[in-house]
Amino acid sequence: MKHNRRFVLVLVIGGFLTACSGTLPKPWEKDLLAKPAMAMDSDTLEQRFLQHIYTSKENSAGGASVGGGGCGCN
Amino acid sequence: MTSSLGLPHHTRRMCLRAGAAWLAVGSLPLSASAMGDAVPPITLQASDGEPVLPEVGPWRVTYIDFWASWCAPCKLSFPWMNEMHDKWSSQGLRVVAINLDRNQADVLRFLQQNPARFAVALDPGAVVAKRFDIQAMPTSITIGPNRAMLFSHRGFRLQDRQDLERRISGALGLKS
Repeated sequence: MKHNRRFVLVLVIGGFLTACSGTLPKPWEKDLLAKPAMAMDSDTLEQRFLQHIYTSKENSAGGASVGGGGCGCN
Repeated sequence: MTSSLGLPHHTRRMCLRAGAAWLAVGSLPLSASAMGDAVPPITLQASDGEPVLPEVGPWRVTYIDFWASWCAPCKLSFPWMNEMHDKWSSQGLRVVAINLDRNQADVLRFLQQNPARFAVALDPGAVVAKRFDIQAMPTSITIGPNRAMLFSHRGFRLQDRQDLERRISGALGLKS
C-alpha cells in the first residue's frame, strides 16, 4: 500500500512536470512573440557586437541565441 | 517479484510502455499529407473568387503559401510569388497565399505595403493550416493534378528561390 502511494506520487509529479510540454504554440499563434517588444534585447546590432567580442575572448561561438523572431521559420 | 516502487514488474513495464506510446502518439503530426497523396479539397474562397484549390479551371499546379503579416520571411516571399504568378500563371500555375492572421486590419496593412498580384485567402481560424499540420511560417505546399501533393517547403530564404523554381517548373512540365 505504501509502495503504491509512492508510485502514484511519482506519476502525479511526472504529470505536473510534463503538463505544459504538449501545448507548444502553433506557428500561427506566434504573432505576439514576433513583436519587437518581445525581443530579449533592445538593439540587435549592439548585441551581435557584444557577442562577437565575447566569443572572440572566450575562443568559442554559438549557443548564445536562437534563430528567428518567433515565426518558427529559421 | 516487485519493483522498487512496490509494483509487480509486469505492471511497471505496462505503465512504461503506455507512457512511451502516449509520448510517441502525441509527437506525431495530426494530419500531414504524404507526398503523392491526394490532399483534401480546400473550399476556402480566395480573393479571385475561386476556391483555393478549384476542382475545375485552367490550373495544373497550385502553389499554396501559408503566411502571416508579422512574419519577416513571408514579406520576403511576396515579390517572388508575384514573379512566379506573372511568369507561369499562363502555363497553368495558380499561386494562392493563405493568411493566418487573427486581425484582418493587419492583413490589409500588409497587403497595402506588399501588393499581391496572386490570389489571397483568409483563414483566421487556421482551419486549413491545422488540416495540413503547418509547422513553420511561411510554409508552402505545391499540389499537382488530381490534388496530388507534390512537395512542401518550410520557411523562405532568398537562396531557396532557385530550387523552388526548378521544382515548380518541373511540376508544370517545363524545361528550366
